[in-house]
Amino acid sequence: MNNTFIAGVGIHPFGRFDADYRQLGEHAVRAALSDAAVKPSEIDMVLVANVGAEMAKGHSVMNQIARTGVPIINVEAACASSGSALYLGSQLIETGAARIVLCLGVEKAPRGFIAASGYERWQIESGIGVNPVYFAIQAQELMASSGVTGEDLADVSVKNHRHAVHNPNAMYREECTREEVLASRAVCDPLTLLMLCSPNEGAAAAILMHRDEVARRDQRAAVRLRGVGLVSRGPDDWFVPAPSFQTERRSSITARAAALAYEQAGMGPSDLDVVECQDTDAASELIAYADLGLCAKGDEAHLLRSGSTELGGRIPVNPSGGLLSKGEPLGASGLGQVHEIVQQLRGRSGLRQIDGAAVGLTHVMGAGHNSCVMVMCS
Amino acid sequence: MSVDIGPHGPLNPPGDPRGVLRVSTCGDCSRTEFPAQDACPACGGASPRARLTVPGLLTRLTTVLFPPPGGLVPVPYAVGVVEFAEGISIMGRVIGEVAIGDAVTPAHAELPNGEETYVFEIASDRVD
Repeated sequence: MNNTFIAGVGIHPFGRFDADYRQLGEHAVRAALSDAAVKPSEIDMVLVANVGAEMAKGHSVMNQIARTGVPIINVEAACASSGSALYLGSQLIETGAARIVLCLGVEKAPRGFIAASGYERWQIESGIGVNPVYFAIQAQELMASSGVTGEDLADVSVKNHRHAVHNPNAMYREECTREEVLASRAVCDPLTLLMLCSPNEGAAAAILMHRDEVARRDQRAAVRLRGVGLVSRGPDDWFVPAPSFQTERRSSITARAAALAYEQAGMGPSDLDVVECQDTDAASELIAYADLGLCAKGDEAHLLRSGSTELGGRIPVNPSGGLLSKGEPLGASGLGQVHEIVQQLRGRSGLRQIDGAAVGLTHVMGAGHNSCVMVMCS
Repeated sequence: MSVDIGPHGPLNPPGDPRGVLRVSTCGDCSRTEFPAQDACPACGGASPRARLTVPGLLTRLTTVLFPPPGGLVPVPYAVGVVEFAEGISIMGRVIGEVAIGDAVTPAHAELPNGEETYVFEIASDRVD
């Protein structure tokens, strides 16, 4: 990618709030506009990622900010909704079809298990249409194919919660111990409550800008988007809501999305300084280590135990605290990651700043089989 | 390409010679799908209904402890993944005293609302 920059980001903290989704979205949009020094009238297109709100949600959010008449398009792809909006926006900028695109992710998710994840009625009624069952099965597969233990799963949660202590936008900001994670309520063996993220509420926005516009405006804090890989289900992928998979031919949507993003960026995993990945549950983060190329398959436990993925390590993963600490407002989670990486690359992450961070990666994946990986650099 | 779900989930009627689960196998690439699909999702080849070789091998097993939205089965209950000789692994509720590595077979079962479903149970001499 040659032309797409992120000129500004904004976020509404992730958590539980009295405010309507429109207010959450408005907050993030105003913050991003201010950060990018862009007026609403200068936006060419608005892309709004959301999973569960009403029809024309982006229109309702923007109605509170400005009625400029440009297209507003709502984008939904489960946990990859934000990534999908950013993918579309970057394509518009790259091809010159737009110079400034506002991408917003916003969500007000109900408490508890996520319902309506694409299951057939028979799956739901017979008790197998349950997202944590999929996470548990993946965790068991990881443990069977590597040295990953229950303690390692707990340690992912401990690490991410430690990171979140310094993130004012996270829902859970208290440290926890391995023992507390293991002793928290069992959900689906081997996963306990503190190894799973909570669906919640929040919003995040980014202003995508064409290179020429960045130069004209002298946007020195703009971050360059180098690669975006977005993939959906192939014949051999397995995730929510599929009730079966090909035993010997399982492929990874994350690995495919990562390969596309790296190729576009002309970079590889060894170039990265910081990663925000989809830690829907503790095992998902470890699975992403190999799928994103941070380590070889089977070496996930070794990478975690080495401390490399902690703040201060070689390649910190989820310095924001990840979804385990922030919670997951489905449509907003990906743009929340982008917010974190952009601020890290700008050196604006305060006590969780990674020294000299110059290249970062974001990763989302989720129901319906979607994954988006983005590589950006300062 | 339509997914063949049937009136009571992806099941064959009791006594059907093709067994309990409604699967298809591609005539071109031999890929088996559950639920059955008329056209292979990988190569597009015609995929007639097929019979799954039973028993299968229970490879994953977890327990659902909290009632999921819309679920009719009282918690706690077990859910597992069963690997079949046709190269497909299928999720389902598992009943009885079972452990990973056991040979299990699909069986018809009834939900509390009277609808039919399937479960996996320890393989026996029973013929469906």
